[in-house]
Amino acid sequence: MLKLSNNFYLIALFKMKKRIFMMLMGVALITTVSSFSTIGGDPIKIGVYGPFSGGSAPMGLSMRNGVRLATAEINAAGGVLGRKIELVERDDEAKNERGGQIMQELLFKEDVSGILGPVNTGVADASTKYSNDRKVPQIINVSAGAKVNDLFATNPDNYIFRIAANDYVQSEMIIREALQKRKFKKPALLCDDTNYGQGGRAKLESALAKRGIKAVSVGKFKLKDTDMTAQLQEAKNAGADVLLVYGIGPELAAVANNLEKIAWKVQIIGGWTLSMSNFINNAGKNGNGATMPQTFIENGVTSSKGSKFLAAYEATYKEKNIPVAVAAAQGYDSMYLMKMAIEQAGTTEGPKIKAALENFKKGYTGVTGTYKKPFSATDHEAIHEVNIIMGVVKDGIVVPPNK
Amino acid sequence: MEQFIQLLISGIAQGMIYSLVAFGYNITFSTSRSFNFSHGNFLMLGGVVGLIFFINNQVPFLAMVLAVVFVGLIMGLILYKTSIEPSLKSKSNYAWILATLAFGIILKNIVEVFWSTDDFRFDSPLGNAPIRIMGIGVLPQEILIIIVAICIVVAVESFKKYTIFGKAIVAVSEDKHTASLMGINQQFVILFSFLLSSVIACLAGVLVAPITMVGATMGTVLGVKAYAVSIIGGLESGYGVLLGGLIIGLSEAFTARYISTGYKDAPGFLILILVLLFLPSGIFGKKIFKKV
Amino acid sequence: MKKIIYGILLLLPFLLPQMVDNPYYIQGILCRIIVYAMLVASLDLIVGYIGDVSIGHAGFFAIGAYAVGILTSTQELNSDSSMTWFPHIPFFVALFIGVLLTALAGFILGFPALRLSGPYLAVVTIAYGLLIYTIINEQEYLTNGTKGISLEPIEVFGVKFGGSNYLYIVYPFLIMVMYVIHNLTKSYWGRAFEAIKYSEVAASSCGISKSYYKIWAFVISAGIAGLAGGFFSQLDAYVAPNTFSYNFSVEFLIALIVGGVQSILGNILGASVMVIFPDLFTKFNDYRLIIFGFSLLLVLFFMPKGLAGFVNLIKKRFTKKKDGHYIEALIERASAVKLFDELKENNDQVAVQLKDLTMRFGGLVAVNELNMTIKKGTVHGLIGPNGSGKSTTVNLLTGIYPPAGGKVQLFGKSIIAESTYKRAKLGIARTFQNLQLFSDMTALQNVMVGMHNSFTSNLFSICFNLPKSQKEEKNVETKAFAWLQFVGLEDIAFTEAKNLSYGQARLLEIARALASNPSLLLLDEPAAGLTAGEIEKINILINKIKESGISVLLIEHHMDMVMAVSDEVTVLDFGKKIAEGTPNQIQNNPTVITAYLGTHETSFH
Repeated sequence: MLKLSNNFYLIALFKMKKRIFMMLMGVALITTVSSFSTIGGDPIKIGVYGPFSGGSAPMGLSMRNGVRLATAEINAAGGVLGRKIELVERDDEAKNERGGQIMQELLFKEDVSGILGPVNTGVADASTKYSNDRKVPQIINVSAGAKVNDLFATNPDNYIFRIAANDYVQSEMIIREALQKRKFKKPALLCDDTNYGQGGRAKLESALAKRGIKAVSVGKFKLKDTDMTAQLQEAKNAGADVLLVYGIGPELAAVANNLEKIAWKVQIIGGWTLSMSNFINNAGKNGNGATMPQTFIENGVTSSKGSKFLAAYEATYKEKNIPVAVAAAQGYDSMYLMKMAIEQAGTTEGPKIKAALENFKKGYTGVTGTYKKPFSATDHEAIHEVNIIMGVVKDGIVVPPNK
Repeated sequence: MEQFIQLLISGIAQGMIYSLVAFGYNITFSTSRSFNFSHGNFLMLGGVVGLIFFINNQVPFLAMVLAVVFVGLIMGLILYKTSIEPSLKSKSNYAWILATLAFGIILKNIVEVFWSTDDFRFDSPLGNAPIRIMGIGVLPQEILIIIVAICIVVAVESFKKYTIFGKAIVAVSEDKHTASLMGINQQFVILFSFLLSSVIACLAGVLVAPITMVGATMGTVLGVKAYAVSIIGGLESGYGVLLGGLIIGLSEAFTARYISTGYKDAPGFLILILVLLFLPSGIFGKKIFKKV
Repeated sequence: MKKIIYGILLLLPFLLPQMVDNPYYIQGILCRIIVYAMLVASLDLIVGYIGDVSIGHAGFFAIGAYAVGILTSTQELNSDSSMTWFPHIPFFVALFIGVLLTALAGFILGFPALRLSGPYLAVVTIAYGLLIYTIINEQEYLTNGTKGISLEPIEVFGVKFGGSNYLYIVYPFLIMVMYVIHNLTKSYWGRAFEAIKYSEVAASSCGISKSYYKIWAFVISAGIAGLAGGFFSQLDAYVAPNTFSYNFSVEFLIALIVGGVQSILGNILGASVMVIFPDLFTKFNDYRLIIFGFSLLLVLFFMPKGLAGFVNLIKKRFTKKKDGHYIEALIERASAVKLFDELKENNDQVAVQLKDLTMRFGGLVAVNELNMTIKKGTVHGLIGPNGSGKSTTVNLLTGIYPPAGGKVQLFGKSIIAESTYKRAKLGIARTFQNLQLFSDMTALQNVMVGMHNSFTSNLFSICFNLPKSQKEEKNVETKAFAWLQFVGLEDIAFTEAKNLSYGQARLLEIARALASNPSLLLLDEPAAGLTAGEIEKINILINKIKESGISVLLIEHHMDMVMAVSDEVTVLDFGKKIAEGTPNQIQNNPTVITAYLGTHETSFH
């Protein structure tokens, strides 16, 4: 009995070997063909990485779409330095260790001239050192918590830039909105337990401490949590009059929905992620009034550049509402900043592009705003408080505050 | 007091969600000593199919449920044919784990690529406004989940106890060899258990969707917690699942409130380890004397 | 010659950092594979050798990584962090501390593993991993919480090992880990693991303490995982808790199974798949994971033993079995072996004394106040209809069941408090009615498991294959072979037990039992299912065993056989002794005849 099945397995195996061989041949063929197709134009390679699968994928995909859109426009207009831009896209799955590996691949195997991304703070912190070692400029276009200017301390020759509202700016604006503008007295913090949420919590706490205030309660929730009753009760019991949140869309929606369940009407103010469509849609009417710092408001676009971007996005990706409009806009602008820096440098050498980024000559008007000199030798943050407006959720969209 | 009851109800509702998912592990474990490690992804599929039919295309609720059941059956069959049957034949202790995990990876990414990576709102047919009784808010969907979870467990357990086919399932779970001597088609019983388990998972997906939202990752965490729930109660006991769900659900709610939100999951898992140290087959598990 | 080639192959990677001028391939890929291979190998100890599924190894990995992270990092690298304690000690000291801590964690997990198995243990490992994760996540002042710790590159004597040269640090450790695991699993420890995995009862009857070996396995496995974790922290010079999630454990389980369990090659292949596949599959872009899933299913279908199993299958076609010289030498050495050791001097003329022994299963009284005496150096028959309590008596004697009441004495000493493996050490050996051979081991290895207690090498000398343990292994192998000769199975010494015929398997069980040098041998239906000729062989064996001075308890349904070889016979019915005496007396006892007439089991001729 046993013998028989063993034989059977052997026969099946050798039959299969042929098939496996054919399959392997097929894969090899595809690989060679696709690698051939890249040779020819000698394009400039730009690496893009972020989470394109898993829970953070909406942010990663919107960002990638923004980058792709800008690249297509640039290439249609003749490229940079007479060369086309080729994107090398890698999915980091929001895993730190994948981020490190991908960066090594992009920098040393693909030999990219610049890098855009990532989304997740942990991924960024695990991987930005490779850009610095290789002296290839990287523009972080979503992650708010990643270390950028902090890196100067240990690494004066810093190649990491950012076009996204960082946590210092965000937390400062959130606190100002809550305490100065709306005159709340007793803030409660509720943050997710990711790198992003906890980094934000720390910065909110220090921004409060500067004003001599301590949060009445500090709560935490995990990704995919849907029951926030306990955390909200704690905040309510502590007498909070405003809820400062730091997390991403789906869990923030659960917070808003649970507020209704325990019948507590309280103002929500939080990070830019409150503008993610999966917050707005899932919270429905419970999300109304939620306020967040924004670099780009889809429904508040006044510039021609902004409306052109929106039209192009809708035409290309057939999505009426961008899942994460901020990420898409920042992705789009990051690509243009990189392009203009390469143009100004006149070369794809890392140090020269970096120098160009730090000393922008032309100025750039993008979707997220106008940047005369986005970066300097000591400040690698493009977004400052002046670039930010507070957005408010209103019936399924984010609107500028006075609308 | 009011808050305490509110927590209690939230904990129970969350626990019943876990139970509902956990029950799927029990059904197949008792017949085949294996289960679908990607059970959470089946739940996700149910939620996604439900959303596409019910919310996006406004198909009547009952028709949507039928469609979900149908998808559950098909997926159960594919899972059985591609992953379970070959693994059980290969006599390896781990093949089924790998096979069902691989199946889950495929399923989740098909949904991500061909549908969406985003999370979507699934409006409860019973309405989204909480019912308020003396200041305590309960979502109608939560009440439905509690009722359905209990009903499904009772129904399946009575089915096992009172029908011929149900008895055949119990027979296979207790002694495969003797059962096959008695003329019970063991393969069919196992197939049936996988079909039942995946249909329940898909229905659970629709049921929990208004609470958890629908997205490709909605089942991942649920799947793991439900696994713990099914073990606490004892993998071979249907009612144990309900108890396990309550233990985990309530411990989470009360820990988050009174100890620390960061340590929310910890007591549940500590209880799990303690229970198993003293009752190695779970609370309602049978003690087995090994015959030598 | 072969060894030299292997040696050169092993040293080859040391040249790579000079030859390949691309840190992506060396540090990004190769070092990662090396670190992950260590983790997969540690998981293999539990999953492959012990047979328990662990989905919590990410926890061990995390302890190792965090020990190094916390102990070696500096304040400057972690500006704006919640951490307050930066001991900043050298890497290797931190690594050592990490390994110790992780081993301790493994020790703690070992205890639930003693009582649990299968999906029950798997869930405990998950819980364990999640608890470790939660603690790391929450103890911000120690670990900086979710924000993670940035590290500086290792510096040894002023040389920084941050790039491709990191290979010089990790590769020697991989070789060491694999060498230790190889030696361990090929030794009597490895056979003990395998025995426990296949049958805990049979293992303990061979004198193997399940607790001892299982806990050690968890300690060693955890220690190696911690070592791998320590090295991991240096790969990207950054650790954060979200790496060490449930999914991470699952991925490594996948890597292990895909690579193939119980194989160093398999571990390395599995780790390579995990590191290389994502980069290789980027061509498929967003469809990457779907294709990955399908490849997993394909591997499972066509290579049920993983990639390494497939490689071995091909290798087997080109290599012969054991070469003749080896067997000749073995036969030569075996001829000088004296089989039956001097029995320990015992003035006591009674081998076993049972007093009022009782056992209940629920309401059923399986053995009811049984009194029985086995005299030293005799063969004692124990007969009775099915369900009369014979096998239960054996299980009570060997300590598999705890009795409800009564006493068991071996050579005048009460052994009621001793566990099964201790009783085996005290000189009780047994065979099983339902064969309990270790089916994936060869006949010879089965007998060597029986000789478990004659090994004295310690763990250290085994792990590094010191001359002492080599010599001991060789001696035991020789003697085991002699035991096979004794029962007439020397021709199938290198055949796996699962491929033996029924008669051969019965004889092998006797050989395995005898190999433990017992003073009391319990034969539980040794002739069941055998032909007349085979039964005759067993009769002769029993007589030889008796001549050597070993006392025998024989349970049998073949009355001819019992009557022929027994000095004394006890008859059980419904758990009660109904008769006792010489074979002659029993055959003429009217109570016995009545008890047997009701059944068609056996008839007197």
